[in-house]
Parts: sequence; structure tokens; C-alpha cells
Amino acid sequence: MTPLIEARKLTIQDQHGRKLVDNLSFSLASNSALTILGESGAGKSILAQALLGILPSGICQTGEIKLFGKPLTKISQSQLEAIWAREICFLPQEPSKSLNPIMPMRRQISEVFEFVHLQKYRKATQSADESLTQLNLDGHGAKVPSRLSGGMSQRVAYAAATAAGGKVLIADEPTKGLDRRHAAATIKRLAKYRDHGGLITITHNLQLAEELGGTIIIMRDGQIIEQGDASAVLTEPKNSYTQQLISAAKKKWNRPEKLQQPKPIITLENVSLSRGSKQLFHDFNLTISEGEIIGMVGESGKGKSSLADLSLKLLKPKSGSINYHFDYFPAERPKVLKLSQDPATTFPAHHPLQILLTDLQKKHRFDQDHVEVIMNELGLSAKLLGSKPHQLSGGELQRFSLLFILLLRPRYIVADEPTSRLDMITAEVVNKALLSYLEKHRAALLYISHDRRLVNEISHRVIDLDQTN
Amino acid sequence: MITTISKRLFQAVFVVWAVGTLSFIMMRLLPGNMAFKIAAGRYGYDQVNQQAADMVTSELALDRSAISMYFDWLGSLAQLDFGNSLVSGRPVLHEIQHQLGHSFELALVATIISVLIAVPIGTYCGRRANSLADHTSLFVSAILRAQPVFVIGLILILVFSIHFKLLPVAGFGGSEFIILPATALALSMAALSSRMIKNITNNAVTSSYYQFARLKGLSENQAFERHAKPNITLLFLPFLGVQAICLIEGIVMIESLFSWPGIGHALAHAIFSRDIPMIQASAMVMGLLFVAINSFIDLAVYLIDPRINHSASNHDR
Amino acid sequence: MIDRKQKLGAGILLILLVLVLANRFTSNDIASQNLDSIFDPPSLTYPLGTDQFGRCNLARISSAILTSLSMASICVITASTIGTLTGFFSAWYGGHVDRFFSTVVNIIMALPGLIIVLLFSSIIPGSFFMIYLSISLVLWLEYFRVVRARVMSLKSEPAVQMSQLYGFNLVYILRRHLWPSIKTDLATLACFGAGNAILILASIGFVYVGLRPPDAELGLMMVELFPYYSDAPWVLAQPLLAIFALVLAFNLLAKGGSNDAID
Repeated sequence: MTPLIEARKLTIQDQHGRKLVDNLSFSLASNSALTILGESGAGKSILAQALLGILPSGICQTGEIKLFGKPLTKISQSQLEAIWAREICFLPQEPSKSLNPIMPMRRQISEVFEFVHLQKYRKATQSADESLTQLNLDGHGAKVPSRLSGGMSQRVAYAAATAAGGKVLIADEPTKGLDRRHAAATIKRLAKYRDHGGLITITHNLQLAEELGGTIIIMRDGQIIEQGDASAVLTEPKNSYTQQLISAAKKKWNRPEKLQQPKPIITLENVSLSRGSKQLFHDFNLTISEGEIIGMVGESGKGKSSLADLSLKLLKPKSGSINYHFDYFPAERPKVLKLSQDPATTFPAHHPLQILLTDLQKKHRFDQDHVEVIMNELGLSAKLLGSKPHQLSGGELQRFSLLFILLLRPRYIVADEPTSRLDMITAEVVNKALLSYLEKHRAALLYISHDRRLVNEISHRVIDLDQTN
Repeated sequence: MITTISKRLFQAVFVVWAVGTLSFIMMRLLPGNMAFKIAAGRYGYDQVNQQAADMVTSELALDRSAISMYFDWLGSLAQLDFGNSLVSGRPVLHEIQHQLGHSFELALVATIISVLIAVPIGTYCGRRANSLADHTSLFVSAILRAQPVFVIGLILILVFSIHFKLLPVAGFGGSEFIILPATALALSMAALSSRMIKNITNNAVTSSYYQFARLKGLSENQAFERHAKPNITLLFLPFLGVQAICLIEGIVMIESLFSWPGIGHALAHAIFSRDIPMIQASAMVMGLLFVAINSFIDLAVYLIDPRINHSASNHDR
Repeated sequence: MIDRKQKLGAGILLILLVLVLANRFTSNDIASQNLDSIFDPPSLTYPLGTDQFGRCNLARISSAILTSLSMASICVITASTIGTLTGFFSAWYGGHVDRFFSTVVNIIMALPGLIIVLLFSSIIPGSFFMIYLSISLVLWLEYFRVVRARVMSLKSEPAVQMSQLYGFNLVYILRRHLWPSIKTDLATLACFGAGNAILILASIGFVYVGLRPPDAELGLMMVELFPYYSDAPWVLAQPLLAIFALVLAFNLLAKGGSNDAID
């Protein structure tokens, strides 16, 4: 039987000659799944575009792609358009950007029924409403994307992408930004394509790859690291990178011991805060003691980051008070610091990192030796200091953020989803360095995450904002 | 929406106040006797004599302080009493009505021509960014934008009226008189808007939602109709305010150049001949028009943009 | 950093400046008439010929260019200083400061710029100062809006919050965060602003409301020379070309140039 989608010796280069995909070969048979697993970065999404014949101009491709046995180069534009959606559906990354911001959800689905299945307007609307109901989106049809959550947008995008009825699905990071519950539902939907058509998933989520099974390709910097049957690769990885990846994903954390009779260092008393007309906190109380690790979970919009910013005094509460009870410590030294979710936005954008390091060193005076020790621990090379933030990867930047924090020896750190944009190996390095610092210096940590398992493992207690109100 | 409306109302009040105040200062700074000037404003220069001036002095108590006269001045403005033209002696309001009609005619024709030029060129180039057509349109637009609108008019006159003798140089009358001024105005507006439309169009057709529309099964034309056109329209609306500035400023210049008897010509002429009641009224009308246009744009955005909540009650329907 | 368009713009500006300087080497002034030599073709005495009163064209055009350039520069300097400061304070301190400046901007925006300049300059006709004042009044709005918006978004950026947590002061934040991120915008606004100032000055000159004869001013020269178009088209062409070159040069100099930085 002809494979549905086939790639042979596929190499994709960008304008600067950088190889985004290097010598990739695979074939997707009917009723099977193929998962491409790798770090977040340019390479994987460009692969999906190559398979759909929509590479941006300037990107150069060698090797061969065959769709249903026919080379892509021999498929005309109109034939290609007949394949899109009708044969191969595509679920894009970041659905909130892929939906028209000013068109109601229902219309974005119904138009597919109208134009592809040639249904009458009324019938198409009905069909769209049925899809919305199936996805638990009853009553959201009239809304525009900005009024929906990420999980909801993802489901609408799924409905629109698959409405035309193609049997093969290419999904680009389908679980990115979804919490555990929504991710599980998404995996279930993808599995349908594995069983009755064909499925290619591009992801950095190891668990997703494990649950989908089929063939797995592990990629790093465009290179193929390992390829084979999912269960074989994941249980007996041959390559050391794959081994690291799997051990990072399965890592069990030991939380540092709680201190005996710790002194409180930060107290929030009867704090209230609203965002717009919505009340986030009312008479909220919290005491943070030295050496304490507090986990914080809750859905988006519940005010996790706001609470963290309150504790850092970056936000002023509407009422109530926030008090610091630090011992007298080297004056001027910052006692509270924050590790943010998106490291790309936490550095002055126009200067090399060395400038910031020098500025900090001038102001707060720490040893150069100390810098080298921590950089070593974090696996950072000194030559990266000459780069500007946009020239570094998210993983490198996040480790630099942590470097600066550890150099200043704060008493209290807020980590706001510090690893959500990192690959699992870097995430492990960051978490490990953070925890060992806390233990050594009796500092406190407020750790915000979507990952309830991780939070439960590392923290002494957990604030669950879904439960509080 | 209510804040937007109150903001616009506030602007309208400001226009009246600012123009009134500036005119009052102008009046005070005019050389000569105040009573004579006001009498002239009321009855025209021909009828002014010492007796009329004395009457004005006693009636308005011109020996009062400048402050109280200033409030009187604003007071009569509030009652829409604009006085008479110092030049023609006729009521300003009456003159303005006529001129406004002529200006509307010019503005309308110019706007239609500019839309006919800018929309097709802008959308065509937006869908084919960096093509030869796009570069040509950018070049022409850059050339046009590098001159004041009256130079465009001047060149049109030189070419079509003086050189080829096809159209009248200036004036007002049959339909052939409106062609050149309207075209000059339209060219200067289209130079800006065609590029703006090009950018918006290009952003729309290269957006991920446009690509997604194609990948979910819509043809190029279906995707453009449904996922580009509405978005382009909505994004272009706010830019109409900039076009309104272009239009109003252009009207002052073009009407003066072509002696078109509209309100812009009236303003320039009044400033030249120091006809303060006319300056005041024409500037005020143009300012109010501008505020009105902006209010319409606000309203249109409010009605068309589905992202705006029209009432808090259907928030989570 | 500097692209081809900007180089072209700088080149044009340089040529115009050379023209202005060249005038220093002739002894003619803008007002001295010589009725025997009306519309003389270019010669050694009159390198660009003479006008309807036999005045030296080179002297007049370079004086007019100089007037335009000086007006543009002082307006841009005034407007950018005031606009940047008010925009910054408005965004950084918010509250009453922001409400006050935003209200002022909102009311000035109720009138098209040219109308404001026309009204101001008619208070004291022919006054360079009133024209300067009113053009600056129109131009600072853009700086205010751009700087305010930029500072607003920067203020809530994690990078600035980080710097505050690190213990750095406002001066540091200005130097490392604000200035690097607004300097290109300010340069672009300055170039467009200069072009605009030149257009406005010529426009009011053209309707006889701006500077007065015998001053040489580009708009005024056009309207004076227009009746003599058939006698000496090349004399009329001079101010037309001059203003075109000036405005084009500044538009090209603006980052992204005549490209699409309109919005």
C-alpha cells in the first residue's frame, strides 16, 4: 500500500544556510501515527509547512516529499488546494493567532461546511453548532477569539481544521499551553486520526508521544537523533540525548527539608486586589518563612502572577498591607527577585548580556569567581555573554536570568512558570539549581506552575487558586 | 462609547472656544479704534461713522475691561451670532452656508476619485507585495508625498490648462471646473491611503488566520472575501481620521489655488484681508466638521467591530 | 543601520546645503533689484539667473532653503523636547499628570494642523515667531503620543520590573531600557516632522499668510513667480524643485523612509 505521506532525504535550510531539518526520511502508513519530538524552535514547524507545500519564500528545500505516492513537485497548485483539508487537515500551533480575530467562532467553522461541502448557509450553521456541541463549546459560537480561553480556541481551531473531512491530520504542538485535562482530551481526539486515517504530530511533549505510540522521530537542532517504534525508543533509548530527555521527563524531585522554627520573612495581611471589575483577592493572608517552598497552581486569569507581584511589591494592593521582615543584610542588595516565564522579555533588549552583568557587578559587588562557578553549574559558556538577548535561545536566556538571581543572593524568589517554555533537559537544570540554592541559603521560593505533579513534589505547601474562590 | 462621545463633544466645545478666543485676540491686536471695527463688523465699512461707533461704545460699554468684553464675545458665539463680514458687509453665516455647499461638492468628488485610485491599487499591491507594481506605486506615492498639495495642483494647471489648454485654469461654473482641483486633492489623499491600504492588505493576506483559512479548505478568493476584506475595512476605518486632516488642509490650499468659492478659500482670503468675523466662522466650521467626521469614524468602528461589547449584559451569553 | 534610502536622503540634503553655502561666494542679496536684467539666464554674476525684479535667483533660493531648514530644525527641536518630556512624564507617573496632558493633546487634535497654524500666524501677520510657535504646537503631539505609548508598554515589561528589583534607579532604566527603544522612533518622527514643517511653512506662504515679501520663502516665491510661467518656466521650477528635494530628503531619511512608516 502506498504511504500517505513520505519524506526522503528531506533537508530544509533558511536564508542564512542554517539547516532547520537535516536529512529526514520517514513514511506514514494508513491508520498509523508518526510523532516528531524535539525542542521548541524553528525547525519543527517549518517541517509541517514543507509537507503542506507552503514553505515561506527564502526557505530552501532538497530531497523529496510525496503525498499519496505523488511527488510534491509534480502536484500543481490547484491539485494541492484540493488536498488541503479535503485529504490532509492541519492543526496549527497557537490557534488563537490562526483564528480570524473579528469573525465569530461559529462562522469560522460553518464556512468550511458552506464552501467545501457546499451546504446551504442555514445547514452549514447547524453543522457548525453540532461540532461546537461535540467539543463542549455550546453557547460560545457567537464569540470572537479574544473572548475565549486558549483551550477553547484550540478546540475551535480543531473543529475548523477538520470540518472539511480529511482523513490525515498534521498537528503542530497540539498540547502547547493546555492544562492536563485539556491535553488529555486533545490526545483522545488525535488518536481517532491514528486509528482511522493517519496522524503526524509535532511536539516537545514526551508524554504525548508516549500515548500516541506509532513511530517516533527525535530531533535536535534539525538533526535526527533517533528514529523508530515509539515504545522501543522510549523504553530503551540508544542515544544519550534521548536518555537524558526521558530521565528529565520522569524525574522525581526531592524537596529540601523544612527548616526548624523558620522565621517569617514576608507577610501579606488582608490583601485585596481587583483587575478591572473582577475581584481577584479579598482579605487574603499569607506568611512566607525562610527556607519555605510554596507552590501555586490555578487556571489562567485567577491572579497567580498578580499575587506573586504583590509579594514582590511590584503591584500595590487595593487594601491590606505587605510587610518584609528581613534581617539586616548587606544594605542595598535586592532581597526579593523574580524568575519570569518568558526570559526573552526580562533583559534590556538592546545590550549584550555582559553589559547587564557589569552593571550588576558595579552596583552590588560580587566575585568574578562566583560568576564562573554558577555559569559552570548552569552549563553556560562565557562567550554567550557577548550576545544580545534575541541572539540566544529561551533555554540559554532563562539560565542567564537564574545566574543573575543567584549572584545577588536574594532571600526570596518568585518563579513564575520558569520552565514552561523550556525543553525538558534545560528545565531540569534550572529547577535543580534553584532548589540547591534554596537549600544552601535558606531562601524562600514561590513556585507558580501548571504542572501540578511537579509542584506537589517540590513544595512544602500548595496554594490552589481554583479552590480558594 | 459614552466616553468617546463625551470626548468628541468636549473637542467640539474646545473648537468653538479656541477659535473664538484667537479671533478675539486678533480683534484686539488690529490697529485702529475698537468701536469702529465692531461697527464695521455689524454694518459694513461703508456705513461706519463716528455716530455708529459711539452707539457701539455705549451699547457694548467698550470702556469696560478686556476680560468682560471677552466673555461677551464668547457669549455671542454661543448664540451663533457670528456678525457681518468686514469686507462684504453681509452676514457671515449666510456667506458660510453657500461656501460650505461648494466645499462639500469638491470634497465629495475628490474623495470618490481618491477611493477609486487608492482602493484598487492598495489591495492589488498588498496581495503582491514587492512586485513591480508595488514598487512603482511606492515610488509614485513617495514623489506625490514630497510636495505640498498645491504644487500638485499647480503642475496639473501647467500641464492641462496652460500647455494643452484642455481645462479651465481656475474658477467656478460648469463641471469642467471641478476636474483639476478635485484630482489634485484626490492624488494627495490617495498617495497616503493607497500605501496604507497596501500595508493592511499585506498584513491580512500574510497573517496566520488567512493561511489557516486556506488550509481549512477555502479557495484564494473565498479566503480573501471572508478573511481579508472585513479585516482590511475595520483596520482602515481609524485611518480615515488622518485622511480627513489631509482633506481639510487640502481644501484650504486647493480652493485658494483654483479660486474655488468654498470655505477654505474663504478662510485664506479672510486671513489675508483681516476679515475677522469670517476667519472666526470659517475656521470654526472646519474644526467642527473635523470633529464630526471623527465622531462618525468612532461610531462606525463601534458598530462594525465585533470585539467591542455592545452592552455589558450579554457579556457571557 | 543606515540603508540606501537614508543615504540618498542625506545626499540630497547635502547638495542643498552646498547650494546654500555657494551663495556666500556671490555678493548678491535677496532684495536688491535690477530692473535692467529681468529673467536673465544663468551667468557668472547670477549663477541661477534672475527673477521678475532682476533679483538674484541663487541668493533668493538659498535664503528660502535656509529659512525652511531653520524653521524645520527649531520646530523639531522644540516639539521633540516638549513632546518627549511630557509623553514620558504622562506615562511614567500616570494619574493626574497623564490626564492633564492627554486632555491637552485631545483638544489640540480637534483642529487640523494647518488651521491651527493659519489662525496663529494671522494674529501677528508675517511673524516668524508665531509660525514657529504654531508649527511646534502641531508637531509635539506626535512625540507625545509615540513616547507615551512606548513608555506605557515598557513600564509593565518584565525587563524594567527586573531592573527595579535589581535595585537600579530611574536614570539607569532611562539609559538602558527607554532610550535604546525610543531613539529610532524619535529620529523617524524628527525627519517626518521636519518635512511636515517645511510643507506647512510653504503652504501658508502660498496663501500669503506666512512670511512677507521681500523675504524669500518657497511657497511665497511660487505664488509670485506663477504669473510669469510662460516668460520663464525655469525660474518657477526652482522653488518647486527645492521644496520637492527638501521634503523628499527628509522622508527618505526617516527610518524606513518613504517606505511604509505612515501609521
